[in-house]
Amino acid sequence: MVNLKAIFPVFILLTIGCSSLPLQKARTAFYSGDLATADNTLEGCKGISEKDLLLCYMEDGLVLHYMGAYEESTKVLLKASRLIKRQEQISISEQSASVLINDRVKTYRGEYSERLWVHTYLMINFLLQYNYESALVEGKQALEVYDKYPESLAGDHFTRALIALCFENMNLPDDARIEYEKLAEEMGIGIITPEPIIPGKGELILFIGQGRVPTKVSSNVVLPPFIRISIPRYSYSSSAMTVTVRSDGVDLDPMKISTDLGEVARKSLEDRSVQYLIRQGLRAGVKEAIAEEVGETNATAELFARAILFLLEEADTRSWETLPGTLTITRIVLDSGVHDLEISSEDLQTAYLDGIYIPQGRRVYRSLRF
Amino acid sequence: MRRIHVRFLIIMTCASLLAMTGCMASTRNLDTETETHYDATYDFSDKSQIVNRLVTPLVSAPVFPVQEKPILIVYPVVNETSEHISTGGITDEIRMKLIQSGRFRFINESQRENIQKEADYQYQGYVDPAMLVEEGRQLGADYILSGTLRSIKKEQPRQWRLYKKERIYYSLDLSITDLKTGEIVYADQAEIAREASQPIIGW
Repeated sequence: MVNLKAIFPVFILLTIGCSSLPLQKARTAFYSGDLATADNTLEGCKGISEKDLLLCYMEDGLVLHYMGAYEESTKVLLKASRLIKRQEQISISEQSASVLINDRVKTYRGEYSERLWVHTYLMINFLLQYNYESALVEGKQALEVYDKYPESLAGDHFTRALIALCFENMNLPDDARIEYEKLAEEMGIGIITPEPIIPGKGELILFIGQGRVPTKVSSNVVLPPFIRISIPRYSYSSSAMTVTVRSDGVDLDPMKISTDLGEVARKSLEDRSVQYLIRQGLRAGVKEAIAEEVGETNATAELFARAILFLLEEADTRSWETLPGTLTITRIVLDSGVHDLEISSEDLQTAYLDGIYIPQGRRVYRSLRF
Repeated sequence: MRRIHVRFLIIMTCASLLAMTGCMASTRNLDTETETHYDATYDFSDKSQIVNRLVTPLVSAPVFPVQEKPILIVYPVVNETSEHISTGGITDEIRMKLIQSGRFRFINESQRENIQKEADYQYQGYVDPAMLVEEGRQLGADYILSGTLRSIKKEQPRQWRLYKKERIYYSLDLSITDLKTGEIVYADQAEIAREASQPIIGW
């Protein structure tokens, strides 16, 4: 019987983590600039286990977005959005397993911020496809997420500005004004009013992603006799990166609204910390009870069991890693006609949008990633 | 020891049978007239309900004299809800029911490009001249039929509970605009309000 108790955790230890291998490979390919390989590695998330499926959809959706495959990206992110809704139910079996083993055995449900950003990227995708109606649908779903977790997500100015833009596109100025008022309040500034598109002019809207979002790492605390507490946290603090825009050789000062995704993600994780710590305490107690029970019959087995349970304690460091560190929406009102644009990121990378045509009275969208 | 093995076998067999029963695939036809809802969100039963509520009074509306058959053009119903709803299905069904009532005539706006393409082909010399469609004979619309689908969603506040309740209100505003004057000559609204609850805890 003692042997069975010892073998079970080893088996669990071996099975955890295998399914996330394609995700790691895809992320590595993405950051080395090989987006096609990143997408191929994920293979439409067919081989990914249910517990990492949301992560896979989110990563693949973003890879496809930055490949310019906006329609495909939309399909994948809509799957992610549907999955998030299905995952609202708390599973007793998963909760029990996580109390015994660790949080990585649970299905990944996404941080509050990540749940919001699924809608953010869907909004961007729909805008890039000029599907204003569906963009607003996503905008409204994003508002529902904001309403659910107001404190965690108050720092996401980019998404709020995007929602306001979706209302503007559907000719709903009052709804747009309400969002701009909320945005101004959250940013602690005066009224935000986008420059109107007057006759003879059009608007170029850029969605600029810079850097990469911090990843989660585990912070470990070891208590006597052999209790390990492992808590996830974001690896480093970040700050919003700036961007400069030049059109036809002239510096522009367009309306720019940015979000430091790392900061919002950190706040989301912090706001979940109470439930995290309760589960940690419960798990430490359960593991201690198991070790003591094993020790009643065999002291060596207790030592072995304690070592296994110690090793099993691992923080859930899963997160959406292909996200940029900063997202900026830049709204540039330009004369109708053809323009050459130069966009420079804070880390001195430059993107060129040559020969971009701005039709009169219309909005044109582009997504960039540095 | 032997008794334990037998008991273990019985338990495993029962568990396997239970799992297999749960995994069996099944299909069945549903009556499209019967209301079926899995949750509070919009579904095909709502479409029929909304369309019926709007079409019945419109057919007998005194605004349009019985002896005349006004010509309508349908513009897509704007989706202002928080769900991805194909509103094309609503407009198609409204149009179909109005055509079947015999009170209205419709212009097929979605086929304009194809009509043009076909007419162009006929004038390329392949078609018998006696059978060519006469150009400049298309009907002009008297009215525009348009609508907006809206929703208001409310979830139960976050608190200790076993079930999560959700309320959704849908409204479809339909209007008919006179093309000559720009006047809205007819307007109506169909509403649906629904509450659904689902367990927060599952196996």
